[in-house]
Amino acid sequence: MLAFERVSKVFEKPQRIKALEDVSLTLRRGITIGLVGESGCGKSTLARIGVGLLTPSSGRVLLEGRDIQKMQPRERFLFHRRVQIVFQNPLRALNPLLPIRESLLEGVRLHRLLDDKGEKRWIRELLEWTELDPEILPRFPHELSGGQIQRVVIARVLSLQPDFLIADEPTSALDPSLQSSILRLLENWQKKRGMGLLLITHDFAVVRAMAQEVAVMEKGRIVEYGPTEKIFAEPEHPYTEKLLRDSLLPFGLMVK
Amino acid sequence: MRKNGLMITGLVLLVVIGGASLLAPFLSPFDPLEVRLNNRFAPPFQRPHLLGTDALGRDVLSRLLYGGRLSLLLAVLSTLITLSVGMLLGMLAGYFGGWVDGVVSFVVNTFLGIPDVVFTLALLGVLRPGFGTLLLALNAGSWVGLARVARGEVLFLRESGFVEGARAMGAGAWYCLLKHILPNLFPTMGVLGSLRFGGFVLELAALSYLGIGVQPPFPDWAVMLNDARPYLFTHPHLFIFPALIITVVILGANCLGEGLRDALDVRFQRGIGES
Amino acid sequence: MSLLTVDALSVSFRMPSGTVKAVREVSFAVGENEVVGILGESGCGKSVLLTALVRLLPSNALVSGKVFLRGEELLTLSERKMERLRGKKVGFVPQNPGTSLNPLLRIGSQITEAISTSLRRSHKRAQAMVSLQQFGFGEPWVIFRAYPHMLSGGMQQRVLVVAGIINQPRLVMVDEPTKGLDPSLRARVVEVFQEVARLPNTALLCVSHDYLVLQRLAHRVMVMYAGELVEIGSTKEVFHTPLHPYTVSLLWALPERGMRPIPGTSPSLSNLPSGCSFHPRCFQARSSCSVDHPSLQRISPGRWVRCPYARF
Repeated sequence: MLAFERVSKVFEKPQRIKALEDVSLTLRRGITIGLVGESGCGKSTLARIGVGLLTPSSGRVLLEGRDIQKMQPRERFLFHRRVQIVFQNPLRALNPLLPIRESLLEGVRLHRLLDDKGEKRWIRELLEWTELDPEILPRFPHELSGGQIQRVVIARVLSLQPDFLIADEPTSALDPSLQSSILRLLENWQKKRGMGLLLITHDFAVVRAMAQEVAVMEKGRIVEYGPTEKIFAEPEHPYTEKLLRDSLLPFGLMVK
Repeated sequence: MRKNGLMITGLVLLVVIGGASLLAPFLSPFDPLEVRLNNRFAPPFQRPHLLGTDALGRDVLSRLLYGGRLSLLLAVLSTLITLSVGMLLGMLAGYFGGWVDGVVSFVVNTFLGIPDVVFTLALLGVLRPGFGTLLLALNAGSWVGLARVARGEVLFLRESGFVEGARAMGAGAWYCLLKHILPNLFPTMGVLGSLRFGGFVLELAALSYLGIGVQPPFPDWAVMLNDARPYLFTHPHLFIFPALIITVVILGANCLGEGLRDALDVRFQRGIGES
Repeated sequence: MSLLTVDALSVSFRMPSGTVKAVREVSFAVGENEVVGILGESGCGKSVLLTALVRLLPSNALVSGKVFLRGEELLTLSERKMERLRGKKVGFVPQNPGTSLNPLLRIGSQITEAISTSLRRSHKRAQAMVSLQQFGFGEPWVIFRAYPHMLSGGMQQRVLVVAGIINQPRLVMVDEPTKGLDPSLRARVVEVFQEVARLPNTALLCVSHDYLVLQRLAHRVMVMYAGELVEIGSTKEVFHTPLHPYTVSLLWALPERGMRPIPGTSPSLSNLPSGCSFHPRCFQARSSCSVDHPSLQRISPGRWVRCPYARF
């Protein structure tokens, strides 16, 4: 399991901002946890800390009980294979100078997981899984649509077969039909590989469709945590209620 | 690849003139240094001296062909040195931040406070004239501007999804720098480098014209300009031809730089966009 | 007479890669106080449609058809007269806040600049502040003096909305007002637009891929796919009893309704499928669907579908 143990993060520049305060969360394999909150509440900071891109000001991140900050280089390298992240379709999600094929294989090559033949086979499988047309392989990122890019980004990350995936608003900028296909992709992959998924989103409908447990974050603190159905049926914290109300979802209109 | 007229024009001009300079020993009809006092001031567009002769009877065409060798070589070397140093320091400062950035930024800001011209002239005044001196004088301060631009680009690239993604996969600093950041710097640096090249040619020409750059009797274009000064109105062709060549070289460099910038703009743009 | 009547509007772009048919023979009308929503995803031509109505298309656009605003034909109007309409009678809130705000001017001046009436500067400032507050800016004076780059994307979007409606135009056209906003901000924006819609003599034409927004705002909804309108009806009709397979699939794709992805991808507007544009992805496509291009059929007053096999 991947655990956040009382993680806090304070940024000094350009101003002193307390991004996270005493956040504890445990991600287990095969389970999806939804993390909801408004923009700027610290979700992305937590995501980055979870994959080791940022160090917490206090608290620890533990993989199977081992503090990632205290890991030896080799162990840490392995950590990066087992825990991965998908960002919210940033502008330059892929190196504009590399053809898609190279971007897809980057992780696998970095960790030296496959030989040439293995690579070819793996690419074919990966494309099938993510419903991408092989004809995009020699193309460059600027030739692809936003939806295709996000799929490539996910394929790239999944190629390492991580045990834990942190998805930071992976579909917020996408249309509904694209959103559903990408979320289904993540869900199927999770079922197939028993991956633990931390799904960061501000969309409650997505949370209800995908997550078994929900954590609600307000201004860097987790204010409520529990099984999805309970949170929806009986939210306890006023902030949770506010978020539910704002989500504009018509009550009673939910089909699993 | 879109047809990019500007870039092609620039390339063609530079390649032609560069090639001609390189092949001067084979193309030159006469010895550029050979003095023929019985044939001074021959007018241009007549055989055998197609561009005439100068005050000492030396063939102008031959001198033009040889004239660029030193300045172009110096300009090319300077561009390479400036780019290398600028990019390296910019990358280190931008990627690692911290004290590395502090040191580099301090040096950059110090140099930026010293006027270019003053610095160059001071160096040239103190050291003996020569190839090495010129190289040093041209480059001592010029890497600074490039380093600053490179640093800015690196700061931006460092936050890109693909760099963060690589880091999240466990990639180390050097991997990210060499595989992702450096190649993405080339486009901007290429543009700046082309423009800088033109700048170096101009700077060198100015120094040579003033007598503190390339020294006569080497048939450098700017030296020719200087030699032609007394005869500006009597034999204008002696001034016009070298001036023209220098202008064309700088024009070519600028066209190449602008053309590259246009070409790269298109490449990084998206299509029509969401509709 | 309707406020806005669009008659067989088509927009194409001639590109080096081919002709892009962004809008194909679109016809509809918007009444005086109506809120009409256009539901569609990226690449369906909805933004181009709006941009065509305010005549802000790039020069390589080929436009045909007619557009009437209160009987006045818009497409043939002189540019000067069109300018007088824009911002005053017709408000437009575009999609891309990053490129629509001048990075060198403070927000405040960009909003007051949009105010068309000749009020004193202090009055205009007050008006701008009130509007900013209405749209969820807790400290409007801070925003007023800020530059666009200091604001997040969502905030920039809201500023654009303020600028677009500040003159209380008769017809407000909005392009994806809630794109990228989290639910709380989205709810805020929806509330304000509800208020705008309640103003007398104000009609709203709202384009969005977010059905929740349209459900709250619109009286009528038109579904757009590959440059055409494929379904038209009242909001309730379209969302509770969708008829066109695309509408049905789109609703099924929602996480709260099963999250079933639509197979395939949106067609390229320069390379449209033969026959019905949706047939390659349609769950009930028949052999004739790849041959015959269906026309919009009237099922009942105000209810139209572009599919001969739509269930009803």
